[in-house]
Amino acid sequence: MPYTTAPFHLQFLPICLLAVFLSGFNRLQGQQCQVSGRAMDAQHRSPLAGVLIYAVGSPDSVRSRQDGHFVLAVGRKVQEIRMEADGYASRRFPIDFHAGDSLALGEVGMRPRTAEPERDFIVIGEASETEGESRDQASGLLTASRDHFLSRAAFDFSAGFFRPRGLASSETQVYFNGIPVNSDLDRRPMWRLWSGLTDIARRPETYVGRAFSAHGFGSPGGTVAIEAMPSSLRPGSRATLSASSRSYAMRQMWTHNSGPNPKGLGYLVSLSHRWGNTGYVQGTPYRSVAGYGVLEWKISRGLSAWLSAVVSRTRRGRSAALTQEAAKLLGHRYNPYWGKDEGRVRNAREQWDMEPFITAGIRKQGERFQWRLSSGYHWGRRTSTRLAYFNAPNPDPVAYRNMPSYYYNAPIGPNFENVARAAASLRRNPQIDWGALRRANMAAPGGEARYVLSGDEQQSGRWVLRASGRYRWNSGWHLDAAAQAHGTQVHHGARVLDLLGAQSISDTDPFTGTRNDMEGSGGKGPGDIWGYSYSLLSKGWEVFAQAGLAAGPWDAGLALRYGHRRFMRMGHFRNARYPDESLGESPWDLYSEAGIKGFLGYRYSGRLWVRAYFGMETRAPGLQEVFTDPREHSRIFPDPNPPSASGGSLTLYGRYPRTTVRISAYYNRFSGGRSLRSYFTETAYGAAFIREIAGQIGQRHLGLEGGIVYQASPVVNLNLAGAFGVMQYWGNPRLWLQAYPGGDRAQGFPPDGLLDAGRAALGGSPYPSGPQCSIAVGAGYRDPTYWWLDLRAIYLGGQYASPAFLRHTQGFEGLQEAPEINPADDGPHSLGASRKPLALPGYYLLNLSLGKSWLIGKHYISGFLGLNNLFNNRYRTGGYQQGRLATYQEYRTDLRSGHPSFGPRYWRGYGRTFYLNIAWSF
Amino acid sequence: MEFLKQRLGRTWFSGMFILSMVALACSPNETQDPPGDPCKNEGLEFMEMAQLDLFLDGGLHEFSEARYLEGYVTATGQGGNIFGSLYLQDRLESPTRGLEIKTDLLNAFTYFPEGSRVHILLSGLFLGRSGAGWALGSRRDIFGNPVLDRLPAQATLEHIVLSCEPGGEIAPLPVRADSLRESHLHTLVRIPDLEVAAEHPVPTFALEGEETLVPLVGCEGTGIELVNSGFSDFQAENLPEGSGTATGILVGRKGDFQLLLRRAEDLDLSGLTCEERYPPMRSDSILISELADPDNEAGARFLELYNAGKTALNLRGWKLQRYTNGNSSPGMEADLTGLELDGGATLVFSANPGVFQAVYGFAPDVELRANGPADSNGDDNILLVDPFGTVVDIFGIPGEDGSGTSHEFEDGRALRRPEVARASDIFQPSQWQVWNDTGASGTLRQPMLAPADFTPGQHPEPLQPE
Repeated sequence: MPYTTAPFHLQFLPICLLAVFLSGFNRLQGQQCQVSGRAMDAQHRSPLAGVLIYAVGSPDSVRSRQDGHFVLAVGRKVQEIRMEADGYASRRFPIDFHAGDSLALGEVGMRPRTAEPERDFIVIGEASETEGESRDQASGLLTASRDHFLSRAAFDFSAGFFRPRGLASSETQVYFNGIPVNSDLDRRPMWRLWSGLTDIARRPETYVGRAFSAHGFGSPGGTVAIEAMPSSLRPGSRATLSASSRSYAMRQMWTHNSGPNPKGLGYLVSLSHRWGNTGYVQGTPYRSVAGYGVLEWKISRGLSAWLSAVVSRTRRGRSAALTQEAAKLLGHRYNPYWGKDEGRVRNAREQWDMEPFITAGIRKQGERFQWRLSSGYHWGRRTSTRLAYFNAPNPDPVAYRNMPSYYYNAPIGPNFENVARAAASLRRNPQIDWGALRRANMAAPGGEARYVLSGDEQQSGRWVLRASGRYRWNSGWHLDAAAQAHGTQVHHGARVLDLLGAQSISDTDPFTGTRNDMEGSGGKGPGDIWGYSYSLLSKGWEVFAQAGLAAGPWDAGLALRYGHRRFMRMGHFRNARYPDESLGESPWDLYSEAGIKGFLGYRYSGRLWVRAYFGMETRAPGLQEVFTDPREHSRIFPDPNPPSASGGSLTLYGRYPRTTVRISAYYNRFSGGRSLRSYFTETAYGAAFIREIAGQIGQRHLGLEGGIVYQASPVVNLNLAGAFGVMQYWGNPRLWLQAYPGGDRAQGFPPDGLLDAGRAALGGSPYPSGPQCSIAVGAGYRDPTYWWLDLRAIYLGGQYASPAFLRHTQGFEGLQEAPEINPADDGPHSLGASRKPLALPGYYLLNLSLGKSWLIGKHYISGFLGLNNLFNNRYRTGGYQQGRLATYQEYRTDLRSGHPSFGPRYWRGYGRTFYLNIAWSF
Repeated sequence: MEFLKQRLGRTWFSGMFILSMVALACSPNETQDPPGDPCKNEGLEFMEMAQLDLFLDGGLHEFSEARYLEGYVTATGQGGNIFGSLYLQDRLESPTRGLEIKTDLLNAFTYFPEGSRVHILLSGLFLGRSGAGWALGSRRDIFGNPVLDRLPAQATLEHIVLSCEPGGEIAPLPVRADSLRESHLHTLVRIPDLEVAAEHPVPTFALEGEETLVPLVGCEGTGIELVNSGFSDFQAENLPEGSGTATGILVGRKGDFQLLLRRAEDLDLSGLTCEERYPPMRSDSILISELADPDNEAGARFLELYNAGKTALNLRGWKLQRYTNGNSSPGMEADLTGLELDGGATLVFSANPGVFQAVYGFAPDVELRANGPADSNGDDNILLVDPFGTVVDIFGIPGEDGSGTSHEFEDGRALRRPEVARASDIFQPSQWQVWNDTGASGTLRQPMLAPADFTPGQHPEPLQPE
C-alpha cells in the first residue's frame, strides 16, 4: 500500500473535524465511547504491537495487538488520548465526543525516538595510585526511561558525578541477557564489557531503588536489565556517527538487527569504533573497538535459545585530581600524566581493557509460566599502566618538591626567588619528559632501569549459571524464583611494559629495599611479572524467591534471598617483608548473605499511586576487601562483620492531563563498610608507607528526589527535577595502619607492623557521595515537524571532598609528649578547622540539546547536538584530602604559609563541551 | 534532489553542521613541544671557569648574559653523603678550578653521572662563595643580606644539560695535605698518608642523623677533617683503621680545609697505620746542639737539634718541651711529628722565621710557636722527649730557674761540645759551653750577638777559644 508523504499529524485533521467544539451540553456523559486505530511503525510501515493507548484522566488503557489494531473504550468526558511505546515518540490526540460514539484514528504512525542521546557510561575508575581513591560514575542510569528524574540525573547531574540517593554504583545490580554483571572484586557493574555499543543497550529495564523485578533481588540502588536480543530491539540497520569533545573525539557505530525471524533464527550485530587524540582534559588519548553479536533461535512458540558474544577493547589515558595550586598555575584542563615521547602524546597512566563476554541460554515466555536458564562467561585482562622509579627523581611534574609551595614552606623560611623560579620552570615544562627518562635509564650502570613503565594487570575469568522463573496465577499472585552459582578467579600482577632503554629492572620494593620475588630472579626484563603476583578466587551461590500480588488498587510483594560466598587468596611470589604469609594458598574465608524486602502499593486513582518499599540485607564484601593487603600477604580483614544495608522509600507517582510527577522519599543505612588504601604518611608514630585499613564504616542517606513534567502546550513542556539528600557517616570507622614489620620500621609501630589507630571521629560528618543538592529546571519544545529543543538550567551543590581518616583520630593530636594544642583556638588553622568537612562550592550549568529527525522513504535520519555548560563554568566535582601529614603540628605548619604543599586534590568538571550524533536507520 | 531539498530543510542541516564544526574546533589546546633535544653544542658561547674570578666582588653576582660553562661532574648526591649540591671541575685531570652548584634536585646522578660532561647556562644564576670556593645557585635574603641558596629541581634541569660529547673518568688530583691551596677548592683531590686520629671517639663514618666531623691526621703532620653526613648510605660502616689516601671534594677555606667523601671506598685506609709505617724510634743520638738568645735581637732566637748518629730518624712522636723559668711542669710543647733528621744533620727551630731569615740569611727548618722551646729568653729548661715519653736529652734542671746557674744563656748562647755524641737525660754542664750575662757557675760572661756569634745549621764546629 503506497504511503502518503504528508506529515502524519495532518493525517488525522479530517478526524479532528469531527470534534467540533468543546461542549458542555453533552448529555451523553457516562456512556462509553470507543477509540480505535492501528499502531504502525512509521519508518518500517509495520504494525506495532504492545503500544499502550490510554485516556488521560481515566484508568482505561489498552495495548495494541500483534497486528497493531486496538480498541479502547472510554468515558465521554475524556479529552485526550495518548499512545506510548518504548523507543517511540508518544502521540497525543485531543478529542471530543460530540457526535458519534466512536473515533477511528486509522493508522497511526509512531516515530522512533532518539530524543535523548546515548550515553556511554564508562565507569571512570580514576584510581589514584597512592590514595587508592576511585571515582565512581553514577552508573545504572543508561538511556532515558520515561522517568524524568532519571533522565535528568543521567544526562545533566552526571556532570557533577551525581549518585542517585548518594549510592555508589556497587549498589545497582545489572543484568545482561540474564547474567548478573557486577564484578566480584568490587561489586560494581561492569559496563565496560560492552563499552561503546550503546545501540544494543538502548532500552534497558530500569527499576529504581528496591523496586521489584523478575530478574532478581536487586540492590538498594536499583536494578537494570539489558536484553540485547534481536527480539527486543528494532529490526533493521543503523549507522551512527558521533563527535564529541569530552572523552573521545569521533565514533562510528553500525548495528544490524534481523529482527525476530518467523522461521526461527534471528541475529543482531553491532560494531563500534571510538577514538580521540585527547579528550577535554589534555593528554587523554582514547582508542576503542567493540563488537557484539547474538544469535537467537526460536525453537517453538515462546521457547527460544540464544548465544551472544561481546568484546570491547579500550585503551584510554587517564587524568589526575589536582591541588588548587596546580590548577591555578597550569589550568583546569591540566593533566600531569602525559608527555611527548618521540613526537606523540604518551600518557603514563593508561587503562587498557579487553574482556570478551559470552552468554548462552534458553528462555520460555509462556502465558503463565516463564523461565530462563542462562550461562555466561567472561575473561580477559585489564591493565592500568604507571611509571615506577628507583633512586631517581620523581617523574611527576607536579610532585610537591617541584611546586612553588615547596619554597613557601621551606623550614628556614620562604624563598620567594625560588617560588618564582619553580613556577616559571613548571610553566615551561609542565609534562613528563620521556626523553629525559630514557637518557637516565641509558646512563644507569649495569643497564638497571631507573624508570620503568609497568602495568598493574588483572587477568580474570568469571562464570555464572543462573536459572530464574516466574509463575503467574489468575488471582493476581505471581511467584518468582532464581538460583545462581558463580565463580571468579582473578590474577593480579604488575608487568614490565617498557624499560625505556634499560636492560632490566631490579625487583625490589622502593621503600624498604627488600625483594619482592625471593624465589624468582632479582632482575626482571620486559614482559615479566614483577612487584607482586597473586590470585583471588571467589565462589558462591544464591537463591532468591519472591511473591507478589496485585489485587484491585493494591499490590504488594515480599522477596527473600540467601547465599554463600567464599574467598581465597593464592600468592605466587614470596616477598622478603612477609616471607611466611605471601606465598601459597590462604584458607577459604566464608560469608553468608541474606536479605529480605517488601513493598506495598496503592493506586489511589488512575492518576495517583503510592508505593512504599522496605528492605534489609547482609552481603559479602567485594573480593578486594576481604584481604587487607593482598599484594603483600594473605591477612584477612581484622573486623569480620559483613557489610549490611537497610532502608526504604516512599514514592508518589502522578499522571495528570498535563502533568507527570514522581517524588520519592528515601532512607538508607549501611554499616560494615570497608576501605583499603596505601599511601606514605607522617604520623605521630613515625613516617612510613602504610596500608590504611578502615572498617565499620557506616553511612546514612536520607532525602527526597523527584521530577515533574508539565505540558504547558502541545509543543512546550516545562520540567523540574531535584534531589535533596543528607548523606552522613554513621558511627565512627575503625582504623588500623599496617606498616612493614622489621627492624627499621617506624619506631612507634608495634613489631608486627599493625598499629591500631583507634576510631576516626567522623560520625555525623557529610559522606562524600556526589552533590547532595541537585536541581534542574528546564523547558523543552517539540515541534510537529520533528525537531526539538531542550534547555536546562542546573544547580549542583552540597558536594564534599573525601576526608583523610587519620585526621580524625586521636593520634592526629600527637602523642603524650607533643606540645599542647590550645583548645580555645578556633581560627582557620585550629584543630577544629582541620577537622571540618571540606565543602565544595555549588555551581550552575546551562545545557542545551537540539535534535531533528528526517524520514526519507524508508530511511530515518536523526541528528542530535548536545551542548553542555554553555557558560563554560569552572567547577570542581569532588576531591579528597591528602593523608600525608597525619599530625596536627605538621598539618598546621604546612598550612600557615598560605600555600600548602599537601592541600586537598580536586577533580575538575568539564567546561563547555559538545556532543554531536547523526544516526541513519534503514 | 528536489525531494531532498524539501525534506532536509537547508537551514537546519547547515546550521547544525556549522555548529558542530565550530564545536569541533574548540578542542583543548595542544601544549607546546618540550624544548628540543637538549644536546646541542653549536652556537653556544662558552666561558672558562677561571674567568669566574672576574665576577666576584663580594656578595652575589647574577648572570644575565646567555653564556655557558663547561665542566665535568665530580660528585653528586649518590651515596647520600653530599646533599643539596653538585660539584664540577673544568678538566678531567689536573683541573684548574672547581665549582659547586647548589641544587634541590634529588638523585642528580640519574641525569648527570660522575664524569659526565655538562654545559651550564649561566643566565639567571647567581654566583657566590661557599667557604672560599665558588658556587652557583639561587638567591635567598636573610635579614636583607643576599645569600646563595639551592636552585629548584626543575630549574636545575633547565640550567644544566649534558654535552653532546661524552665525558670520561675523573682523575683525582694527588696533593698532600700541607700543599692544599684555595685553587683546589671544589675539585676532586686525593690526599695520601692519612689515618683517622686516634682520639676520635666515633667508630663509624657518622652518627646516625648527625653530621660528624672525622679528623684525619697525616703521618707527616698536617691532616684534614672529613665532613660526614648522618644520613649517608654508609654512615653505619666502621671507619678503616690503617693509613692511606682520602679522595673527595675539597671544601672550606685555607687553614680550615675539609673533605667531602662521595662513598665509603673514597676513604682507602688499607695500608699500614702511620705507627706501623713510621714506628716510634728510640734513639740516644738526637741532641740539643745549640740554644740561642742573641743580645741584639730577640727575634733571632733559635734552637738547634743534631743527629749524632749515622742513620736518619723520623721524629714522629718526639717532642720538645720547655719548662719556663722555675716551673716544675712543662709549659710550651712542640710536636716534632713529620720531621726527619738525617744522620749528621741539624734542624733549626725558630719562633720568628722572618727575623731569622733577615738576620742569618736563610730560613729556619721549622717554625715553632712563640714562647716555645725555640723562643726561650735564657732561663728556661728545654727537654727532648721521645715517643714513649722518656726524656732523651735535656738542657737545664726542671724546677730550677736558670738565672745565675750553669744553665743560664740569657743574652747568650748554649753550645754542645762537639765530642758529645750521645744524649743525656741529666743535665751535665761539662757537655756544654754556655755564654750569658752573669757568668755564674762556670759559664762565660759574654753576651753574644747575632749573626756572627752563632752557628745555626752547623754542628759540630770547632771549639771556641775559651
